[in-house]
Amino acid sequence: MSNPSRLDLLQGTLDLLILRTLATGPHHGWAIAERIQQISEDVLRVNQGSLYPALHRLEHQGLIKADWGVSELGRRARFYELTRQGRKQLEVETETWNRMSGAIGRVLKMA
Amino acid sequence: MRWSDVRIRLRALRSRDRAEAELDEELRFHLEMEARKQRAAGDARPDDSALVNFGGLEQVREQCRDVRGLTLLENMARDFRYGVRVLRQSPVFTAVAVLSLAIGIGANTAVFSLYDTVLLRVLPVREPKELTIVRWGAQRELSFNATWASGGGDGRGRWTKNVFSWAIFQEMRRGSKLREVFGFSPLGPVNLAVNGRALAGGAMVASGNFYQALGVTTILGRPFSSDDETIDGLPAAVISYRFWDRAFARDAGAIGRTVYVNGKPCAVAGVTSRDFVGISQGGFMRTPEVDVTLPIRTRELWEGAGAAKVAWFGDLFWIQVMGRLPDRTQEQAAISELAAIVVAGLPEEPRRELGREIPDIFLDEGAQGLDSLRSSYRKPLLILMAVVGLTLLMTCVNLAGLLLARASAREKEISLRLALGAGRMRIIRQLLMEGAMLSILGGAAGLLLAYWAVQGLLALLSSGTAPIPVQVSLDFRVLAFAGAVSMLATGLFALVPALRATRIDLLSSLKGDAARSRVRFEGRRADGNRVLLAIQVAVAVVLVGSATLLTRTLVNLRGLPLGFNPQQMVLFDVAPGKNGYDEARGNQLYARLTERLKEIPGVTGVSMSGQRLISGWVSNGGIYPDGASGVRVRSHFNFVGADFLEVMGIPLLYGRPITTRDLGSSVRVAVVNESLARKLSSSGAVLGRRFRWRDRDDRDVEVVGVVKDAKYDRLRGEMPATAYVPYTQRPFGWPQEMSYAVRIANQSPVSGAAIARAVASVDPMLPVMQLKTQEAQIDDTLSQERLLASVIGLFSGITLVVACIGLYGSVAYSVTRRVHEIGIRLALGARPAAVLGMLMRQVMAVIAVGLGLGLACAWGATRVIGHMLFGVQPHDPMSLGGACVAVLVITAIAALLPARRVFRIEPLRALRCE
Repeated sequence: MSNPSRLDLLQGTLDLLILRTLATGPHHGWAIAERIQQISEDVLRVNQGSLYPALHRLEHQGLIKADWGVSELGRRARFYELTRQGRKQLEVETETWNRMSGAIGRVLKMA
Repeated sequence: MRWSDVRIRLRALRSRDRAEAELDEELRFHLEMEARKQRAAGDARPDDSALVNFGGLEQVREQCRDVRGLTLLENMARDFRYGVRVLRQSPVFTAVAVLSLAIGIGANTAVFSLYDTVLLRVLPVREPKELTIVRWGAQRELSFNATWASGGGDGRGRWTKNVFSWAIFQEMRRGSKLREVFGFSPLGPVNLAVNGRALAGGAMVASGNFYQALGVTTILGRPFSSDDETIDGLPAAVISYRFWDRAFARDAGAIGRTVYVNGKPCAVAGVTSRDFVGISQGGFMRTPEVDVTLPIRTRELWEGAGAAKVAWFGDLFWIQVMGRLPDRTQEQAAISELAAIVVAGLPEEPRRELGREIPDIFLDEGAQGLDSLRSSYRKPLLILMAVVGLTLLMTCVNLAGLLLARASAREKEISLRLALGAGRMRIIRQLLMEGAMLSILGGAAGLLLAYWAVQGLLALLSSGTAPIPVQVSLDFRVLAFAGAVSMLATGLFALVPALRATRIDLLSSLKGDAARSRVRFEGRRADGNRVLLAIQVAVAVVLVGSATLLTRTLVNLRGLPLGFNPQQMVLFDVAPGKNGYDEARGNQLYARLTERLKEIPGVTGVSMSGQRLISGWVSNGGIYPDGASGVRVRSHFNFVGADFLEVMGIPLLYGRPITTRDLGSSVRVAVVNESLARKLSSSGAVLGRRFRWRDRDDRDVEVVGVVKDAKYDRLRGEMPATAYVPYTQRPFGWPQEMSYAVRIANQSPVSGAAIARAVASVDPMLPVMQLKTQEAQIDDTLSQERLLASVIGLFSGITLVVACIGLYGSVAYSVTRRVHEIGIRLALGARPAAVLGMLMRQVMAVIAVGLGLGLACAWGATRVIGHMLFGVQPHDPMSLGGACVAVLVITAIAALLPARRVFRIEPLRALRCE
């Protein structure tokens, strides 16, 4: 957007990042977006508009589950956590991603 | 979709409000967190920034709903509620749309049901496709004896027959190529009696393998299975379901009971199912319905005693033959085999005439049985199909126009909803839902209408001389047909406007200058719509014109001078000859019945005749006024009882009428009408003049009276030269059946039951046949004209209504759309009347084009019905002009009604509302 150093997420990678973030424990939506941004050192920027549909989609697919909990500020918030199926899916997708980025990296280096 | 999915979705639907609330809370929490962060970062308006970062809140909501997966059901429910609201907001539009759909779907369902029953349905038998009807023919007519035959020249110089002799039929059954050969022959109308009650009916004989070959079983008892089967010494009879109902009130004890056929007993073996009405849905000539089927070898039993002996199992050709051809590739082999059998079985004379020629064998498709009903109703039904199809098309087009107009009137609403985040698919789905609701409503109303229409049409079709003995029910295929039509209609009129409406340029219509995008898409619409409206007006002109011509034909035919008085007259037939009466006993019966009828209170006159008047039947032939060597004069004859001329109201001019004395006298007399008198003598003075029936008959007939001319067999044509002769003096034998004419005093209710009692008191085995008034008798001969006139009249009304709906809708829409423009005109000083004139000029141009087009089409179309018209030309300017004027006035009113709104437009408000 206005900041040239920030990247909008590649199509399809949001799900992977959400799953990876949730691998560290339950989080609510806003925290997920924040963590992705922080850990990527502000490079990856989650489009907040697409975050919630993605969360609901993953929930519907049974990869994550949601429950109401109390946030760090004492407010009621909706927390998401990985299901067993989600964990498996994360491994598969991580593996796929690594192979893909490795391959792309090699091609780029060679060229 | 898995079942668990459905359950989740249903539960989700129930807890929809909770899910919505949770989503709201979740998003609100997110925004608060975001705002907190922005505030911490020193943002002056953290809440706004949070919202901006988030993007479109409503879109996100919508996407989440989509993900939740319950949106389909949820949205449908919402669309449904919205649709109900929209349709209720415009009750006139809804009513008009549902009504016109109902007309279109209802008329189509009704006519298709009839078409299906009469023209498409196959016989309810085993493997109907294998059934084959055998006919034969030769290059020219052969001379041999045949009865109950049909056929004749086929227009290409060839000659065909549908009957075979017993010997040939026996050989065919032994043949190997055509399987399961069976034969049958109608007995004609018969006198039936059950439990001492006489009933008129029809009967036929069939070979023993008839039921087995057809694969038809009985619902009670069993069918007969040999050519001469008996039960306790009586011939075995299979009765139809309808006869079982009529004669035995569906009593299961009917099996084994005695039924008298033409006075001879037979025993009921079985009852066929309700579906099976025989191998011909329309029955046979003069036997519209077969009540009783008897074994074929009993054929000679059912003849009356007075009838000449017929050699049924000799050289007479009378058996109609069908069989099964499971393998159509065997057709040629079967034909060769059958041709050889026919040649071998021909009597000497035709075989000599045939010479070396091999006769033709025709194997017709038999799946639908014999085709009397199909051939006589094919054309009217096809015309009906075309007309109703056109009607449906018009209603669909009109509805498409109406909905399109509405969609463009709702453009703002749709743009707004698009802008608020509704997906294009959502809008289309919603418009489709409205269309579906309309067509479901219309389809339901249409089915109701169809149910009534079928009864009505059946009554119309059945009112002819032979009623249709068919059960027309709206079966599931017809339902599917109506459903398909209804779906097609939805597709036609909801999808197109829906797609167009959502293609609106979002920005330009939001900015308020919808005019640009609207003009673009209305220009196209308006042109198409005008053409369609003109076509509808044209169709209305054609149908109204045709209906006018046919109605005038009916009026002309009914207004024709008959020469006799048809009012207050009841007719019925009795056929004592069939029950074995001979001349002496028969004449006694005729006389006694006449006396009994005269005793009924309210009866003022009774007589009888060999042919009832206007029945389509005549006796005619030649008479020899100057003895055997003289010229032959052609004349019609009617063999009548005493006082016939007086009872019928045919005025006597000279001499005396036929009296009771003539009936018992051996002095031969006749009364002639004026036309015959002129033929017999140039001066017309024929009293006392004598003539002979035949050149070899030496007895003279003396003319004792002259009456005025009267119609005899039909309404059309000249009044024929006719001689009235005492029935006891009929030159070619005693009349085995007679038609009674009972004159009834004004306002006096003489019931059919009273007449039946009078007949039963003379002979309880003698049924009353063809009981109807003379006026109904006349009407029956007009059934085809009446049918066409009423059906075309009905549909001309419908098309007129449909065209008016179209015009009304179009003008109403145009006024709504141009409120702004009209407001300006009025504000600038235009008189409302002038504005109205401007609007009407545009509509009238469309109507005028339609009238012109309609007139041109009517010019061609009315020639098709030309042969049915009477006393009016196909291009009768009065009728066609009148039709144009009527259509013009009615459509103009339909256009004027909504156009009057200009008087109510207030310039200021009109200008403000944009």
